[in-house]
Formats: sequence, structure tokens, C-alpha cells
Amino acid sequence: MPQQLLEYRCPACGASLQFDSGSQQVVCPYCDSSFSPQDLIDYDSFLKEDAKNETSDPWSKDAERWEKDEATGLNVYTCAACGGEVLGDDTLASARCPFCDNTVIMKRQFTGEWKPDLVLPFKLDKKAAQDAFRKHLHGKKLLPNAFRSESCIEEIKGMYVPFWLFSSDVSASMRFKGNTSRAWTDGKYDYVETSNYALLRAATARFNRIPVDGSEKMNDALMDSLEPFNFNEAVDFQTAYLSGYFSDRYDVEADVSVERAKNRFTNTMQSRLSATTGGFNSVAMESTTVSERNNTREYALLPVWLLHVKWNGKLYTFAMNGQTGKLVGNLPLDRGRLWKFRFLYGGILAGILAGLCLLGHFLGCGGGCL
Amino acid sequence: MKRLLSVLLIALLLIFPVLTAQAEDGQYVYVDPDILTAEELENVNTRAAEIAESRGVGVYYFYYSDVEDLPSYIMEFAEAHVVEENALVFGFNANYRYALQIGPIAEAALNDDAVDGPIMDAYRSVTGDPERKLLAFLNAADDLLGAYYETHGGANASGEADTEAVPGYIALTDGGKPTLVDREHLLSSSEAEALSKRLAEIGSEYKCDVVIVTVPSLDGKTSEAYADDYFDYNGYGYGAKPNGEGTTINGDGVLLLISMEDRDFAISTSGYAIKAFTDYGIQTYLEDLFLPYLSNNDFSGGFNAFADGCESLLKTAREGIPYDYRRVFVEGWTDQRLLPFNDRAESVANRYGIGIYYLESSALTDADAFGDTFIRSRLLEGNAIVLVKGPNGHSMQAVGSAAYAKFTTEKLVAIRDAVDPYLNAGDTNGALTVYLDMCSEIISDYGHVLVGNALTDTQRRSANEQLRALYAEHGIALYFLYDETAQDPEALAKSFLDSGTVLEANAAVLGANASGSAVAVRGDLASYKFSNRRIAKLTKEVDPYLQANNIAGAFDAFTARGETVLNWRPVNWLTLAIASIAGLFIGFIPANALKRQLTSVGAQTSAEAYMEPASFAMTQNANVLLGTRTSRTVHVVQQSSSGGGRSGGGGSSFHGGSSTHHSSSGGTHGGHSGKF
Repeated sequence: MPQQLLEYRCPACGASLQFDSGSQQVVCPYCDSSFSPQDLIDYDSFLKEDAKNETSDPWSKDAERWEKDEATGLNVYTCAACGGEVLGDDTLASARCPFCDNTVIMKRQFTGEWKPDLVLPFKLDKKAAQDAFRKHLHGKKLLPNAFRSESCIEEIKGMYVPFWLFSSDVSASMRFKGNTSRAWTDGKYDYVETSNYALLRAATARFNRIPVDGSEKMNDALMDSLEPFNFNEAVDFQTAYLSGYFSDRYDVEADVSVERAKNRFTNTMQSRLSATTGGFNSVAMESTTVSERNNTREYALLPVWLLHVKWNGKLYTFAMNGQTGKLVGNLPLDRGRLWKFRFLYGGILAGILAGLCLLGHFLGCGGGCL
Repeated sequence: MKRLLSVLLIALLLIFPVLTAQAEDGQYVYVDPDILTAEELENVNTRAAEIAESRGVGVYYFYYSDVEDLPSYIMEFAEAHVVEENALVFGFNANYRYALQIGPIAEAALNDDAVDGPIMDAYRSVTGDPERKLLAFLNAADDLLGAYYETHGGANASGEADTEAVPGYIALTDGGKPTLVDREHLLSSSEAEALSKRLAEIGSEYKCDVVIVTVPSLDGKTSEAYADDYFDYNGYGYGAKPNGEGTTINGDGVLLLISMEDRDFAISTSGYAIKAFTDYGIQTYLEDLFLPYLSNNDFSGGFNAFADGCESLLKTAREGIPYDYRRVFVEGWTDQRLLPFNDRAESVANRYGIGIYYLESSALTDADAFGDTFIRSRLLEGNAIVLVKGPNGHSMQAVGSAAYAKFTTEKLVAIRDAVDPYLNAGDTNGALTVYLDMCSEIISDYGHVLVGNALTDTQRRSANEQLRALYAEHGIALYFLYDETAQDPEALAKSFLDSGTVLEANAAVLGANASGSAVAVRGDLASYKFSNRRIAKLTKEVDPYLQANNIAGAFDAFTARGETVLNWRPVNWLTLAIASIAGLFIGFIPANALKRQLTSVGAQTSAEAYMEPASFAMTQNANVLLGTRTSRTVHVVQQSSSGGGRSGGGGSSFHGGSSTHHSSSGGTHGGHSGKF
């Protein structure tokens, strides 16, 4: 089956449309028309009726030839605007055509089991991401100066990252072993009485939409760090939201991802239950049983600005939550500066303490104050 | 007729045991009437007399069925009848028998084992005939004595076994007993002769036997009991009646016993010697004198030192005041009455190092002379005020530089004026109270400032207060000495520091004369603060005042500069270094926090944020008791350990006077024992 590249064209002037995160509308960059995503979908279905009569794509054979080569993980897509070829891996779901800069959306990636349940539209634009990055560098005293001046943002792209959202009613029961002791004496002997207890604790709780990164390419820790997302602003998936952004479909199955969610709520239940074992000495956990009911999972695309920064021959990846603007990413350390600051602060404190010593000495406590 | 007489005699004996002391000699067997005929009685007495003749040991036997307290009666019996130095008294009443051994030979040869064994066996072997029973008893005793002399040598057939062992050159006590019994032959004959003469002379001079006895072993007794018994059963004691009354008690004498088996020694005192040889005198003076010699096996030296010590103690006692630790002694007062005064004097001495002495005795006819002797030999401190009261008047002296400086002539006159009315009225208690009050006040009032008459009393008092306050604050005592006649201020300060007046471990003494001053320092802390440089600065500030004869100014300069020196403290470099290093490491904490700023990526492990609000509900919260275990350990009580007692002194604390105990013969003895 040939790749169906979906692009939206301006009904007014025919230029490629883009989703504007500021107005939450789809806008045309050329004629300033704007449309709601729903209108566009209606318009699109109308166009599709027409397209049924068209002959099949003459490039489809080539496309099919590439498609057979899936072992390489590469696919070639055809830009509907200019006909240029777009190269991407088999999870690529939307991209930009390198020739005409139009948005191309691989419609197939959003059908059937790959159809996302939710999408959280971008609320912040590229400029906000750039500002956030600059701000991220601000106040980091141990950042090498050269990084600040020499680093360049090699690539900045808005991307819908596939996430699994797991919801569950969780029941956890735990058993601890603890003891209490009391001591007394009758004058002749000292007595210590130790009472051993089994502490049985169980609780239920509802967890909603624990997000787990469903993309192999994305660093799990990096994605975790972007939390929290506000899922109240999530909307039903419409391809229109993808215009102007890259997106992937998930390539980590829900069965695999769910383990990470389970770990997280298991940890939470354990710490909640452990907190109820006060009043005992040497509490030791003996067993934990966790079960879930009413499990639901949702497939969501979440907005992430990815920034690739090149400095000193190395690539640093930063990510910004496209909804909240939270930007994360590890920065390089200037070791020389670290020692400089250590000795600076250490020296100041040493000076203060030594000064207090001397002050104490002269006030008459003989330097023995400390 | 004769039989009737003896029956009467025995009846008298029972009723008036003491009056029967003059019972006829040569009788050894006493029985209730009708048991033996007169002829049988004579036979057994003859046999007993034979044994006494040949073995030198009297063997006595009595059977009085109605004697109640046999052990007590046997003592009375022994006193009344026994004439030999060694004897066995074998007594029966209706129910019991009791044996009493007197003298070392009887104790060794006819000891309780021998009595219970061969003697009783022989006695029981004959039944029915009382005469034969008694003869069997006497023969058994004779056999045992024979066996004893065979194994121990000695005079087999001599009647005077003990004195026979004493060589002729040994001098005797006035009571005719050897002053030296050297069974262990620790001395050569010439040494023994000289020593025994010395002991006899001391004994005659002071009317108190001084005896030294060496024995191989104590025969299982304590050294104290052995010494007491030896003294009693060998008729020692000046004034005790010589031969003829058996044991002696309450004679005057002191006996030194040495047993080489476990190197035990004991000093036993009796009668007057108990008073003369106080516990304090024996344990702190006499024993210190001779025990070191004995420990080095120099017995001649040790015994002569003992003789010297005894002479000295007896002499002191005769002069009026026995050698005792007491600072306050009043003839005729009990220890309980003396104790509060002594305690007061002692607390003053402990605090200020100046002793207050008050000695009163009717024997002190020459109070001045006794005071001089006392001061030379008996003071416990280097500085003291001593008042000696005799029947002919009293004398008062201050001894030592510190006491001399404090007890100026005016002060002594003031004390005398205050005390005399009481003494003249015979109110010793009142005199003593006033004396102690005044002396304590004088001693405590002028602790740190000794300036003769250079300052008024008021000035001195306030100056003293200043220095005492400095001591309380800094723990270093400052002393200000001014003596315009002193040649060398440095020597003045040093001699004062060494005089025993300065009790504080850390002290700085400024000695000054009219031309300059010097400082002597004692103690690590004081030496540290009073460095040569700072001392030089101090004297430089004080000296101009001295040269201007402004003593008050000099004192003020001394106090001001002294306080600065006391306030000086060295910088504690170690603390400083520790503080700096600690500061450095603490400084790493904010720097490391800066480092953490660079890292913002981390995996999430909690789902707390995704828990639906208020959805957390506990469904089970139960504590199940699995079991209870109780362990028990012995309760340890925290005790603060206090220091041990005096070495060799058995942890004794002196309360003045002499402690006494009773020996087996009922005599009262004093003394002390130990090992060397």
C-alpha cells in the first residue's frame, strides 16, 4: 500500500497550512486565513471524495519498492506539495518536506491501532523554546563560558512524542515485621521485653494517566523529566493538530511500557503504606502484593520541543514541555570552575569560622568556643 | 585430818578463787572431795611435780563438777595456781572439759590436737579407778613433752626450758625477763648483747618494758595475737609481778614480734605504753623508722631504729603530749571532745597551709622548752602558730615565714590578751575557742598580701580580696610580698613559694624590696602565662612605685598588670586549623549544589502526582502480635570508686589516741601489725 501523505492546503490560496499553537487554530502563513481543526477535517473529507476518481500515484511502485526494504528501517515518502521525496524511518508520522518546507503527514501512521486517542496541542512556539533554552543557561555558574557563547542550536523542532497513558485502580497489601521493646529493672536484674508484630497494611488508590514514553528514540529519563503534563487540556486526536510539527508513532508496545507505570505506582503505594508503620522499632518489609483493576490505557501524542545543541564536537539534547514550557537537559560541567567555587565558598567559610574563633579568643573563651 | 583440811581448802577455792592465790605450792591436781583419797592425791601430785621438775612444764588438772563457766574459771584457776612459765591446765566440770596451754612449749607440745589425741586417749583407756586415770593422763603428757624435746632439742631435763634458751649475755627487764628473744638468730651475739642492754636501759628509764622477739612461725595465730599472748604469758610488763602469778596483764610495755615465716611483724603495747604509743605514733613514725631496715634484711639496724623510736616516743609522752597527729591536745580530754577543735585546725591547715596548735598538759612545767621541742619535731606544716599551756604559764610562737609575716607582734599580743582571761579562769574550752577564732581569722585574712606594716589593715584586706578574686576567676594565685629588709627580691619570692605556704598548684609570687621586685612562678599554667617577657614588663611597671616608697601604688600596678597577664591566652592554633578545614569542607556544599544545578534529567520513580485526590483508602491496618521475649541481665549499679587505704596501714584513719583490743588472756593491748 502506498504511503498516503496527508497535507492540508489552504482552502483560500492553496498554500500549506500550519497549526498555530498560540491561537489553537490552523492558519495559512501566506494569506493569514485561519480555520478551526474541525472545519479543516470536514473540508478534507470533502476533498477525499474527489480524489477517489484520480488515478493511482505513478510513484507508488517506487514507494512500494522501498517499502519492501523495511529491514533497513527506512521509508521514502512523497511530498504532496512538490513531489519531493521525504526519507524517514518507519515510525515517522509527520515531518517537513526538505524541498518545499511543507508539512507532510504520513496518514497511515495514524490509522487503526496506531490511531492516537488523545493529543495535547502545542501551546508554546519555537521562539518560546529558544528563550527557554537561553533562560536555562542563565544562572548556571559552573557552565563553561564557552558553552554560553559558542554553542549553537543545531536543530530545533516541535515534535509530538507518543506516550502511553495508563490508568488503574491499584490495591496494594504489604506485610512488615516490627517490634516494640520496653526495659525495666527490679534492682537485681535488668529486663528487656521485646514484642514482635506482623504489621499488615493494605490500601487502594486510583491512578490516572501515568505517562510512559512510547518512543524508542526518546530517552526515557529525559521524557520523564518533562512531567507534569496537564491532561485536562488534551483533545481527541485530529491530524490537523500535527501540521507544522514532527511526530512519531509509538514503537514500544503498551505491554512493555506498562511495567514502568507499574513500578511507579508500586513505589508510591509502598511509600504510602510504609509511612503508616510508626511506633515500632526496626520495621522491615517482608512482602508486597500489588494488583490492578479497571486498567485503561490511552495512546497520546504529547508536545515536546527538542533542541539539539552542538558544542565542542558533542551534541547536547534538550527538551521542552510544549505545554508548560518546562525545559530539561543536562549541561556540561566546567571542572576548573567547580574547584574555583569550592575553594571560594570554602575559603569564605573557613575565614568566618577562624574569625569567630579568634573573636571568641579575644572575648575570653580562649579559642575553645568551637 | 589432813583430808578434812584439803576438803575445806577446796571448798574455799570454789567460793573465793582469788583468795586462794596463796594456795600451797606443789599441788597440781584439784578434784571434788571424795573422788581421791589423800594418799591417792599425793601420789598424783608427786607425779605431776616430777614432770614439772624434769620437763619444765606444769601439768594441772582439776575436776569441779559444779563450775558453770569453765573457760572463764580456767583462767582464774591458771592465775591462781600456775607457777611455771609453761603449763597445761586440764579442767573438767560435770559436762565439759577444757584445756589451756600456757607458754610456747606447752602450746607446741601439748596443743589442742595432742590433748584431743594421745592425752584423751590415755585418759579414756582407764576406767573406774580415778588415780590410775590421772596417772595415765600425766604419763601421756610426759611422753609428749619428751618427744617434743627430742625433736626440738632444747633442755630435755632442764626445768627452765625457756630461760635456758636465752644466752646469759642478754640483759633482762626490771621484771627479770629477757629483753631480746632471738629464736631466729637474726643478730650476732655481740649485736644481741648491745641491743638487749639498750632495750633494758630504755625500759628502766621510762618504766616501760621494751622487748623484741623473733620467732620462726606464728603457730597459726595472727601476729597480733601471738605478740599479745607472748607478752602476757611470759610475764612481761613493767610493774607486773614477776614469777609466781603465771600470766601477767596490764604491765607497762611494748613488744616487737618478728615472724620470719611470712615476714610478719606486730607491735603489742600494754598498760602505759598504749597511751604513749598512739596509733599515729606507731604507724606514721615508728614503723617508718624501722620497717625499711627489716625490708632490707638489716635486722640489727631495724631493731636499733625500733629502740630509738621507742625511746623518742616514750620521751615525748613523758614530757606531756604523746606523739599524735592532733593539733589540739588538752590533758584529760576525750577524743570526742578534742575532735571538733582538731577538725577546725585541720581545715585551716588544709586551706592555708598554716597549722594552729594548742597543747595543754599539767606535765608541761617548762612550756617554752616543750614548745621548742615540739616545733622542731612534731609540726605537720612548715608554718604554724603554737600555744603551749603548762601549769606554770603558757607560751605562744609563730613558726615559718608565712606565719611569721601574718602573726605580727601586735597580733600575738592581741591573741594573748583575748585568751588570758579564759586561761586564768581555768576555762580551757573558752580559751581554745577564742584562740582558734582569732588565729583562723588572721590566717585567712592575709592570704595573699604580705607586706609587714607597709599597708594599713584596711588596705591589706582589700588588696587581699582583689587577689583572691583573681584566683577564683583564673585559678592562678598571685602573691604580693614586700619586705624592705630583703636583700634579694628573687630569693624572697622563691623561698616563700617553697615554704609550703603557697598551696595552689599555679601561683606567681612577687617579691619586692625598696629597690625592685622579682617574680617566682609555679605550675604549668602560671609558667605559661608568666613568661619572662611578661614578667619583665610587670616588674618594670612595679619598680618605680617601690623606689618611690609607694607600696599601695606598687600593689595597684602589680594587680593591674597581673590581671592583664592572667587574661592573656595563647591562640589555639589547632582549633583554628580545625575550624578552617571544617569551613573549607562546609564550603564545598554550596559549590556542589551549583554542580547539581547542571543536571535536570532524571527518571521518575513515583506516581504520587497521578494519584487521584482522596482516592487513597486504607483497607487494612492491623498489628498482629507474634510473640514476646523477655531477657534478663544482672543489674549493674554504677559505683564511684574511692581510693584505697594507706598502704600497709590497713586503711586505717586516725581519730587520735590509741585503739585497743583484748588478748586471749583478757589483757588490753594496743599496737599494730603488718608485713615487712
